[in-house]
Amino acid sequence: MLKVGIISFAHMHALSYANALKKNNSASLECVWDDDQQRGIDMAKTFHASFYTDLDEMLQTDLDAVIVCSENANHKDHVVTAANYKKHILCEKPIATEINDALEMIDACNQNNVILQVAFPVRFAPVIQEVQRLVNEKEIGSILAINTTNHGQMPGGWFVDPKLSGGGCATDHIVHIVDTLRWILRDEVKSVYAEFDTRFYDIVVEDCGHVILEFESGIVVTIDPSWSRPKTFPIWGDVTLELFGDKGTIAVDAFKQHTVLFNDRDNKLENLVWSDDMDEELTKDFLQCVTESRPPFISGEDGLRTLEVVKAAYQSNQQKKPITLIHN
Amino acid sequence: MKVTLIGNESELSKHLSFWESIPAVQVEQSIVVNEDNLDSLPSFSYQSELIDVCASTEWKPFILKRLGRKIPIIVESPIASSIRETKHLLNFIKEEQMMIRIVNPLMTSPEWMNLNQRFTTHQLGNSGVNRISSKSEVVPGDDRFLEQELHVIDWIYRTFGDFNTIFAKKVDSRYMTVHIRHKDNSFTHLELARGFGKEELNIELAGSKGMLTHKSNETNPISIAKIDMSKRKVNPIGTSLIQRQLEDVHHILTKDHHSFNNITEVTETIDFIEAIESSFNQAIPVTKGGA
Repeated sequence: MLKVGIISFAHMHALSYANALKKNNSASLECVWDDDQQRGIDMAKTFHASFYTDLDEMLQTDLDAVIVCSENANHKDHVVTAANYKKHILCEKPIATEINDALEMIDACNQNNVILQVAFPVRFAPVIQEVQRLVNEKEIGSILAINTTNHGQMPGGWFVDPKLSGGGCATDHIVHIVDTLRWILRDEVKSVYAEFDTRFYDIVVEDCGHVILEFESGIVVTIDPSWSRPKTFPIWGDVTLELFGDKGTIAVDAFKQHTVLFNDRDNKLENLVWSDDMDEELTKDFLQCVTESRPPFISGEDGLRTLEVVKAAYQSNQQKKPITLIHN
Repeated sequence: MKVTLIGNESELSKHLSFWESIPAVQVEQSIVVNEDNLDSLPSFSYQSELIDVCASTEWKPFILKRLGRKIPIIVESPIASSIRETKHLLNFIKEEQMMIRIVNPLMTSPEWMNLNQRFTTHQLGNSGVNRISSKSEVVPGDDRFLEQELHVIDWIYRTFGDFNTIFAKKVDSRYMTVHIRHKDNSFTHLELARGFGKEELNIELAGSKGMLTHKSNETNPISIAKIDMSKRKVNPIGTSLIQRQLEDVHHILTKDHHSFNNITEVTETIDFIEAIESSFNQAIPVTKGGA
């Protein structure tokens, strides 16, 4: 039985990973560290785990792995510290807020011979895996262009504090699409054009924008990463892709498999997704990597590549021109 | 009001039945254009208060140049077969100080009109990100891509306002993605896909106080499936599109005469299209005024 700890419940996905650990027969959530003591105590209690106020003390125990769900800007410190204690790591996306931080994290994990997997759960959604198969079987011929969205509702909290998040919706959402497409297409982004703005909320980070990528193969991709879903939207957001090939199109809505709840109790409409939980599949895969000592399906380098695109997008927004990517 | 109609026989009859249905309108002349001999156009009665040109696009430049400045003219967009020719004709119209209303059928088409009205009356609050995706089964000739989108781009200009920056990419002469940053800093993403095997229009307008969506494939009120597996879609819209257009023109002429001439708006739409063309030709963002 693998012993796993969670470093911070700052990111809401921690709750989902904790639930996935609870369901998993080969692992147990042993302990929690959180700089928000009350949150940490509450979560530890909920999942019958121990709470630590001292991260080093928690990492000195016989844990096999940790899941890092702290604020984006704190990923580097937490991943490097955990790596130095020889713990395998599943790190919430984005890998970091700065390229140098990501490089340092990858290096620390390599030096300590521990796994660093970045949490891009979209790859594990059955519908996305099917799309990957269809594309690779050339169902619609060669891909020419892809129109994508990763919308959401504005999450608030530290997500809108640039010191902790590194940025707004662009930081939060571009990485999912870029990772998914790099994986499906086995291709790298060549250039990025982007513009962002804050138009929906009174916040200091961007809440909307538009990104146009060109991949090395010439495929043109658009991404709408906006926190533009209204409060009345029946689900938190979306992941949609429409792929245009020389022999047809594939339209994908990752959360289309849902039932609709007309909820009179709370006066709202809700889409209740019933397809396999991708966070659960991601956690399962990470635990298998640790057990089998195999390289992670989604590596630190994958996280780095997506961060490079985000940084280039911000640069493009500032300079008002397309940016050619330089890979680190 | 006295009206003269000039056009093709089939179009003419539809327009004629509309004008004849209005008691206050008297159809002065109804001139069928002879496509084999355009020079044979008869002289016009200058007693008319409106000339309704309902001819094929390729004939419109010739007819419009013959009409002169004296009488208000209505004509459906596009007024010429290419952007270059349209621009040339617009310059002619301006120089001649002609009074002309170029009608974009989308502005009176129920779904487009509904979206335009809800947006322009600020029901969505601060405008954020607008997404328009238009797909059709027909593959255009390479140089006809943007000409065919004139109405959509005109609708974008009239609904969301002028552009500040445009960045466009075109792939394989069948797919175009256009990023528009408007003067008010809102965004529009326009996707045009042709010849990919489906007919579809999806629109999403997201603002700070709400969001409007329109999906053409989800608004069909009647669908018929038969035992022989054939399918048929029926989409009744009540009042015909021509009647909606002409009613709008009639209303403007009788109640809002000063807004009849819309050459300025159409010229701005042509600027929009030229910026898109320039962006994908040069692979750079194009800024209004070239700054």
